[in-house]
Amino acid sequence: MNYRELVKLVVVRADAQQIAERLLDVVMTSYNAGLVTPNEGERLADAFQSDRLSDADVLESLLELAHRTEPEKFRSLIEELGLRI
Amino acid sequence: MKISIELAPRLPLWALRILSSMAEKVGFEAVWLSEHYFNRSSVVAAAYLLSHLKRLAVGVGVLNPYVLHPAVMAQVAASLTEVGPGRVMLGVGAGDVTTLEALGYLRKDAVERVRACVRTVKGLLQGGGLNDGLRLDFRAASQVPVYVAAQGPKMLELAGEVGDGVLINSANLPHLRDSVGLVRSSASRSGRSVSVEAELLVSVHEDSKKAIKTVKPYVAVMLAGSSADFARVLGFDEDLLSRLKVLVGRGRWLDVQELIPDDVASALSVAGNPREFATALEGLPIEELDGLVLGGPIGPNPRPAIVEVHRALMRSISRGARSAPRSSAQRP
Repeated sequence: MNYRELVKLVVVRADAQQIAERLLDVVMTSYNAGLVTPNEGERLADAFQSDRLSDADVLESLLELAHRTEPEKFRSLIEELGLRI
Repeated sequence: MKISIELAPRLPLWALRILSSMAEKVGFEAVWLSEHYFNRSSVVAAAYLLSHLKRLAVGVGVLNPYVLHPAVMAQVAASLTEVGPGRVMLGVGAGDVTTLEALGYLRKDAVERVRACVRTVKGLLQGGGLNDGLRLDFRAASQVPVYVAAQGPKMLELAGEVGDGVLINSANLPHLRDSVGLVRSSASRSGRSVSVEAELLVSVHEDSKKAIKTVKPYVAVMLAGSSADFARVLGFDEDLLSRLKVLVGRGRWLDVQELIPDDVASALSVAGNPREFATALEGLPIEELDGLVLGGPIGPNPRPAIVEVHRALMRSISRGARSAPRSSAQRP
């Protein structure tokens, strides 16, 4: 899946910050959070602390990580935005 | 009123950092990191958070003197002050029976063990060599307040006698006022000032049932580590308590959620939707405390829950301040 392209589609349909926070919560509350590598997690924490969660590159990571840790929730969220994967 | 949050390092370090950063942003003063051998190390997590956060104080613990020598506790605390000077706190407690048994330790003479431990730790942190030859060959970069985690009356009194602070266990929630009184009386007899802080197991979510379900594993761990007498008062006879201990020991949290009734979870925690949470806070003797430590899951979705609990708590405190009788000095 091309997450960079997906970011472009997502940000025209919803508030980027809100979507980023929802994706972050999906990843953090997942029983599969262990699938996030320490480096990927570090980048998320850096972005969160510096209020850059909705930057395109961070949103791209969040989409990928949400898909990896919670595929069903990820699919629901994407469909909620009127998109199909 | 010092408002702290407690997080369990069952989460990856990066997630702890995000939640701690959220807590820092909304105005919490400190984060405590609980210590369980089956989670990530609270000491490592503390070093990590101290290096990434600018303002939040970080508490380790509680550590117990059965598993860790007091000199090692002092070494850990003093080392952490080099990462975050002025922001390190140390919690010392006896540890819960179930966990200690799993590690092969017998929880014996708990009050005396903790007393000796706190004295040794404080002595070493103050830079002196001790009579038994123990010493630290470096000095802590700042003072480290040593908190005593306490549940039973003797430990509460000890906390008042030797601790810089006390963390009153959430199990004491139904009789929190009495617990505070025990610590204050003991501190007064010893001519000391102690920061009296209560730990609460907290879970907030719009769906009240979900909030209560989420707090149950935390209640179970606490209950499993409590005395049979304490559990009996809550309707847990020996057989039920044994089953609970087995489930907790094996980490079978879904079964634990089935076993713990909602009313027991509610009695030992502050869980529910935001309105229920605010109402429950109103019933607590907050004005008698120096601090509150909001622990447990915080909510099924902890990041937004951190914002919610802090907002509700601030409202409750400001209402309390408005309704409290003014002292004579304030009267016109």
